[in-house]
Amino acid sequence: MGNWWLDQPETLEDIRRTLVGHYASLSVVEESDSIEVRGSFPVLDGDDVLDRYDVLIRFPPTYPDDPPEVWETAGRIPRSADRHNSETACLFVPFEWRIRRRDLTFRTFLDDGMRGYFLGQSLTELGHDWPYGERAHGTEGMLQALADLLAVDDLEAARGAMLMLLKPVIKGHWDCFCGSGARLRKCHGQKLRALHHAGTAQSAMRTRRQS
Amino acid sequence: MSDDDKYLKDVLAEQKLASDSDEMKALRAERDAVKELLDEKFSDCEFTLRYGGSKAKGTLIREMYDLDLVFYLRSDENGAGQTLEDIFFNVAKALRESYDVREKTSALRLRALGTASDLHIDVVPGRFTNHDRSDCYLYQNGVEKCRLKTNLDTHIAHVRDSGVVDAVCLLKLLRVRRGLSVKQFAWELLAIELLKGKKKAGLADQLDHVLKVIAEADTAIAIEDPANPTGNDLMPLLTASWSELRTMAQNVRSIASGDGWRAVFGELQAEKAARAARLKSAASSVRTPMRPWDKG
Repeated sequence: MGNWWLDQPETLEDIRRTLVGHYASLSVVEESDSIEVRGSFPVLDGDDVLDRYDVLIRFPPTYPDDPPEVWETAGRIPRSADRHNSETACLFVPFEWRIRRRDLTFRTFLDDGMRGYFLGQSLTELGHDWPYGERAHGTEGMLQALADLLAVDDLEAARGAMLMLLKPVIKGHWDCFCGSGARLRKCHGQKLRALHHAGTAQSAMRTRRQS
Repeated sequence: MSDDDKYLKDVLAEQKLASDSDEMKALRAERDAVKELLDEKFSDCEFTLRYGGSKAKGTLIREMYDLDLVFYLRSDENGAGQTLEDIFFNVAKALRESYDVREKTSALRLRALGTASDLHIDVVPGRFTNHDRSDCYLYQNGVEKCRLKTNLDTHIAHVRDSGVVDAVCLLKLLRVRRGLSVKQFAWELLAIELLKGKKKAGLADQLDHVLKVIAEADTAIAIEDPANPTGNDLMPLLTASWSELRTMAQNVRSIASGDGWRAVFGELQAEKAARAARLKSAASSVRTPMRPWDKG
């Protein structure tokens, strides 16, 4: 796999511009085989800094198809699944990025993904709940994310959808995973095809293999 | 009043337990239940059951609100046992009908039967030394010197009328939050001893003075039991934990001088609430909210 920053210099340039323009306390560190962002992440509310976290952001070889990984480096957040901080900071289910990445730039990753996550950590420290709720740990959390993307309530339906996403092709005459009894093409077919096209199942499998 | 003193006063105000607080209501209800049980079990005995400890001294804080109930028998009363040891264990046996009882050195700690949840009540059995109902003997469980002469009223007055109760409360809070092993009884006597000439000083100065003296003392500073100055040697209580106290004092002074007392005692509840409101407001401005997840 090639180095994305060599193949897509404009993506690296976008990261640099974002940091210089909006997050001056973070900086790009170029290593021979990787690109990292290090520094103090400001949790902003308008121009006010509500909190700060020391972070390391690493970009996977598959960036920007897959999201950056984030570490909180000062040890302020306990290393615990309950704080969504077992090894890396678990901002979201990774395939959610894959689906939304057309809308998500590095700037929105910082402004929304990281800011939302660290706002949640600061609130949790004060004894409050996560502001947008949290996913269940492990596979169930992945299925919750998939259920949200497909706009279904039932995790069993999401499990059925995941099995379909693992197939090389999706056929419109299959019964829809949602249990409506309708054919896929008349029901959730379009949404499912979009996820299939985005490589959702492969992303999910990669994530499971890493755990 | 300096900003530091105002902040420390606010910390204390948050630690006050109002008489209509849930904690105090629960303590009163449990005290009544204990009294009823002891009345029933020792109906032939003449005894006094009253508040001792921090409730009587005015040093009760929210983060450590244990209630001492002293159960003192008349000097010639043998109905609950001939010896102090008999009394201690007979009272424990009686309380075990309704509570999970843990035997401490001189007190019986009550926990709820079944759940073993802490009820924050210590019952302290003892016997007055004479008809004055002033001095009292306590049994000391597991200690070589098994009889301790003390005087509850003297102890209460010594702390309550010390003129430095606020500083004693803050130092108690420090002891709780830092998990210090020193006995509260010795800790507050040390604080009062060190603040004898500092009653008029502000709270921040008082705290700093106590910590400075401790930080600079190589060996434990002498304290006396006001109820029995020559009879009870309290020094082992301080000597055993002096190194820990010194390290804590140096550490806290360093934090306070560098970052202020807020860095020692933390944000006030009102400040925390305001910060949480600000964080929640900021969270509502996130355009693409994502839910955190863990691989598990």
